[in-house]
Amino acid sequence: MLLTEYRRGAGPLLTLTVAALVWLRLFGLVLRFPGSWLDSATEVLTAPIAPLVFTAAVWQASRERRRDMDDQLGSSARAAWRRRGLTWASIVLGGALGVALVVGVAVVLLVARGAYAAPGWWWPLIITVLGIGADAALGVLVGVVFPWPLLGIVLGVAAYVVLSEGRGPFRWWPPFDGYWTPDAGPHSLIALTLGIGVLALITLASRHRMALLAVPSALVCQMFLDDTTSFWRVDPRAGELVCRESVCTSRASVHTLDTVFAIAKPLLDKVAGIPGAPTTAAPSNTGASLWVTGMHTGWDGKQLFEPESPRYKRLLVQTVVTARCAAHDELSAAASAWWTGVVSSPQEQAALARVERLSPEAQRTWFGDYLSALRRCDAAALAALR
Amino acid sequence: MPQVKTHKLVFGYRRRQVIKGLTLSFGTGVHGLLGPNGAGKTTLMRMLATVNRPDSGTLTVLGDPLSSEAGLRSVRRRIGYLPQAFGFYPRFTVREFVEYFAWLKEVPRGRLSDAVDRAIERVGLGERADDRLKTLSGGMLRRVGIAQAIVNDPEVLLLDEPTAGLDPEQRMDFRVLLRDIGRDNCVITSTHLIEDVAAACTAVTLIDSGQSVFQGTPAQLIAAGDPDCDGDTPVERGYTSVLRAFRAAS
Repeated sequence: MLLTEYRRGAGPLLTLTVAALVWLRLFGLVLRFPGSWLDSATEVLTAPIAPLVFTAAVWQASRERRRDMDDQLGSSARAAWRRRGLTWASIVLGGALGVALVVGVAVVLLVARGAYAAPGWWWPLIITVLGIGADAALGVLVGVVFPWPLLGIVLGVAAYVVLSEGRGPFRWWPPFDGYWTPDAGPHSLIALTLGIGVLALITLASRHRMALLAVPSALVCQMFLDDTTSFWRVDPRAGELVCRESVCTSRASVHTLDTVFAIAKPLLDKVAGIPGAPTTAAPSNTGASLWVTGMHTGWDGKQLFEPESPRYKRLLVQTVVTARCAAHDELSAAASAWWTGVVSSPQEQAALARVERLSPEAQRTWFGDYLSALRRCDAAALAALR
Repeated sequence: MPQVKTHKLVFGYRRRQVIKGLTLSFGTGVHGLLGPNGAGKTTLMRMLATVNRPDSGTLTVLGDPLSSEAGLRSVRRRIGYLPQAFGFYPRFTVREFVEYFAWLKEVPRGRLSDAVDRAIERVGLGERADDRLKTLSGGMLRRVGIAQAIVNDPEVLLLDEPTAGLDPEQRMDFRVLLRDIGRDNCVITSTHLIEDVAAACTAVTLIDSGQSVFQGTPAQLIAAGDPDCDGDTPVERGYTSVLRAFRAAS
């Protein structure tokens, strides 16, 4: 019966639209690589599919009254909660299938690229599916109460927008800085709250006496959830370095190592042997090494947006060549352009031309002297290098 | 022993009393429920189908007074009901729709597929079983309604205006089906078509203004007819005579 309810209801359309939204969230229009397992799962969690699921559930649940089925259903033996449960399950199937289709593609990519899997990375996926369950249950309740599906949908989506403002799923997003992983305790509480919430909503929609127990239980869980301030814990393993020769990324970004290596290694080779020049590339912005920052890569593992990676090259050398003690933008630009070969303005071109008038050996000496003066913040020495 | 019994049954919508102390009994056979518009036929059928609970009086179906949830559920497994306003999901196929009702009536999983096929065959829709309901004519939809009502082989079958929309040939087939089911079960069919009653029913119940006017066989109804009364057929004259006599007395 579930498959019939799914196929003949809003299920297939919901699957397609949810899949499209999650796909856009995860891969974007440019088919970017989704990142680590946790990043991917979190992207799925944050896809705005709740209004869609809710709308489909309202539509499906209001169908009985729309189609004048009350008398036939009112004389049937099957308990109302089983009937509502079937409607709910068909919507959950529709939403979950849409998510699963896209996650399936992501899994293939993540496995193929050996992306980093943080402990408990799967929690956001669990919460996503349970969230679909809760949204569907709310939609079923509204659909049963309101015989006019359009009004139910409008009210529900409006309530979603209002209630989501600074609350709901947004509170469950990970912090922006550092490496974090889902904390099992709070995430179990989220799962429990959503599960009991589903039970409460379905029993309410069915006027089942279990609602007397389920609704207060759901409210108590929600109160505990509201008091929870942190849903994430630090993941020290994610920050560990994974290196190829002298080029390193964090473990969380290990899927970018090949690409970073291809860009950073020639830069390191160019300055090899110059006194004071960095010999490593790592995710550190102290200036002692090339600064390996986060990178969006595509399905083929290459960097997105800028195939020649000029910006990324400049980012890598930025902390090494940028003056921190005095304004020497012109010198900094010349050093960056000489090192990376990337020129972005006529001023930089002119500065580079002055350096390139020197012999190759003198150019290397000039660069070493520049780094030395920069570290000492020696204004006179820097001025002499102009 | 009658499968359905009502005793001083009362029911109303807000302040308006529609059923006023009805005492009736229905045993094995096909019972025609007759009455003018507004007599309370549909309301009575809804009560017999356990959709509405009586305000007072007792209703016993298949020996159960419907006082407990378990008893109600057990009875609902054993009754079939085609309401006057038959609702359906247009995207479902005939088979899916009947299967849905078999599930709702808790037909055991092992028997479900056979029960669905048999119900569809009995209403003559075997060749349209995989067609969507939205592609069927009004008469065919009515037959789907009958199929969903009989899919659980009900011991009590309640049909509210079942022949509305059926063509003469379909109505004759339907009467055969009624007689077949009514051999071992209790069938109560509410209708305006008196000739259907005369042709297919073993008993007739006539109600007016929520009260019982007549309960007997079609022959007894015909016998009660005044030859001078309005009506083209003997059964119509019986119907009119009994109704007028009741109204004159009350």
